[in-house]
Amino acid sequence: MATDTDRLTDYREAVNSENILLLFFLIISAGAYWIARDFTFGGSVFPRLTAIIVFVGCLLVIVGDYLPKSVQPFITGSVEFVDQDEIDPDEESASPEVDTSLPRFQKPLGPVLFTTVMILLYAAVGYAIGFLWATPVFAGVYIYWFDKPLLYVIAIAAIAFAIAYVFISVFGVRLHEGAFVTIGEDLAPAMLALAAIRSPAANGYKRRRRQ
Amino acid sequence: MSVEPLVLQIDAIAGGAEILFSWPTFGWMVLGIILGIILGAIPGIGPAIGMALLLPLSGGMAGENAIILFVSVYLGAKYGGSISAILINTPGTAGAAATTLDGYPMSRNGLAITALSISATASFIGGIIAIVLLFGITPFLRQIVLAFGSPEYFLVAFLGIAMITVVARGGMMKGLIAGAFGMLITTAGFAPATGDLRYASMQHPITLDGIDFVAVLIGVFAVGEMIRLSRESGGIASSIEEGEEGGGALSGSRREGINHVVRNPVTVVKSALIGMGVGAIPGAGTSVSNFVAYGEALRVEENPDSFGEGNPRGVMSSESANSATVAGTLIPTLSFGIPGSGATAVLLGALLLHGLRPGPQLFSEFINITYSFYIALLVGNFIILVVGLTAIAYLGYITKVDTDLIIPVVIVMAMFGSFAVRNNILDVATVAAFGVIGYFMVKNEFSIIALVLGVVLGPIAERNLYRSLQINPHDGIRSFEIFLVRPISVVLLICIFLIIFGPFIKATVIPRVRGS
Repeated sequence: MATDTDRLTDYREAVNSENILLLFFLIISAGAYWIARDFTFGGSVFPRLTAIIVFVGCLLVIVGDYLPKSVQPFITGSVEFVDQDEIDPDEESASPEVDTSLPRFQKPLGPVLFTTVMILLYAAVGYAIGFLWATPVFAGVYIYWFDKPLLYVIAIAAIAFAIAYVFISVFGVRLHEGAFVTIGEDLAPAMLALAAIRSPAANGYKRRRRQ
Repeated sequence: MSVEPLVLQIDAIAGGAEILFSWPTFGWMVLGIILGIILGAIPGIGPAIGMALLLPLSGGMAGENAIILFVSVYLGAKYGGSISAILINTPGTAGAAATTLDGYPMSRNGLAITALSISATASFIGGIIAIVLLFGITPFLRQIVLAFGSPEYFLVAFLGIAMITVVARGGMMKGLIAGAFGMLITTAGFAPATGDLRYASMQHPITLDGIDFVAVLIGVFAVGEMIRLSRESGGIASSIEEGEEGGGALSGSRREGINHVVRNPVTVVKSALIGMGVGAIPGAGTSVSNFVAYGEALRVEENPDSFGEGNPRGVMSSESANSATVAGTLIPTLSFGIPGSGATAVLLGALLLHGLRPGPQLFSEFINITYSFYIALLVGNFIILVVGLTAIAYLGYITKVDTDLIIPVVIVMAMFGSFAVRNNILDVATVAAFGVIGYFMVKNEFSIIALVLGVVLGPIAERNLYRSLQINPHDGIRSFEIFLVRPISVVLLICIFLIIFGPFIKATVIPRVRGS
């Protein structure tokens, strides 16, 4: 008879990141196929074709362990030019092996989870209040979390602000505008004026804004 | 098959040289090489991330300038990867992984400068050999490319994804899922051929342009890699150097390093040919070629036990091969739009962003631009030799950059860069989302190169599919017959079938046939 601990282990094994990813692909592909019924024949062929490949592929990976052994190479088969343990073609940038079983430091969130949460928060806050001011806060908090000296925190926050400033003043990207609040409107005209002088792209953008 | 007269080829090459040696193009090339060496030398960064971040910034540049910059970054990074491989036993790029095997022992034996000199010289010679071959192959390549039509280009896109999945970790099915998913997400917005509005709404104008492939590239390569890098301790270099093995002292001799390479021409030339050949196989790239060349050098070695203990031939075989692979990967990328690696996927994205479509166009009306890329590689190798040999004493500093400090800067650049392309907040969301998706895909062995290839090639593949179906007079499912009546299409279909079902046939059918 299965105990509560066994059930919890089974549940944890089922809810791993691979299964979540496969479920995500399944939902997206099924939805895409279903919605494509409203398109014209020419417009629906390609989305349906790709959605079918994703959907069937995900199903095969999910049930792969239960398929006959002779079929499994079709699901997991790969040709090995060299020892696959030594290389990973996906990794253009190689990184040293790091023992991830030990926590890097004692924090409520691990570094990967923290970085992921920070990226999503940064995108959301930047969208809401504009990236000009959200950026130094994001960079400063990120560095502070990793126990760097205060001087580094201030330096990276300043560099991040400078990057935002360059994007606004050189490339004419309206990073200071948030969907709900715009902080730094007084600063922005001067930066955009600079952009108008320097960048043809920014000039074009300014013309579009006037229209 | 008729090849263009030599005079026309020389004329096109001269046109390419004229482009490269004009200002500011030449300046972009030099900047690209130096930037590439720095990016390649920092463990965890590499060419794909650097090129992805530069992609949106190149928007205001002339197309040929931008591509020459990217090609130069790519080449420089391949050499840069060997610096950290030799000095701190950590390859800056996967293409330098085999370099660590003998480069680091040389460094520990007090021969760091010798090893770095071997790396620079072998990279230079390997790169030059491959580019000269590339010049020779191009006229023939042109004839092959011109024989392809819409049905063939549609099938080539799938063939590319299938080939990449063959060498990717995690099995073929996951690679196919990644590639098809990449293609699927590009269908959002207006259909390229019919004008249907798909998976978007007029009520939400930001969705009308669909998902931008540049944002996906940046998300997967830059943000996804930063999430992965956050797992690792701040200064990869410093943590290793503080370890028991200690860092390699910068001693040795430049002249000795050059002499080693000059005295072993067979190893260098053979490795260059291996690098070029493996590079031309989509999906293989430098991560495979350097090990194949190293393996071959080991096989013919009279004293194989010396490999792994600091044998100079180990360093030169790996470095000659990975430098030559750069030229090799340009063959499928420029001719058929099939990149061999993450960096060439970004390069393909840059080509498309600047209106240069791989295929016949690059080998006919824009042939002089294509030759300018080749000449950039040729000249770039000379710059690598000069920089490599003169700046050896300072190269070690690059490897000591604290990655914790790089991560927020790269993320900020990624967000802004994607936003700058279309001034669309959807692109920022795409970068964040695909950063996370990309991280989990790598973690679970789904090929992100296949995903990126799908995203980049999706609209091209769809346009070619639509055109192919238009060629055929039949309606509905019969319109697909076009793929069965053209000889090249049939060959491509057979190749796709064999690649996908090959492992199945190998495991089941062949043993049964042998048994009976």
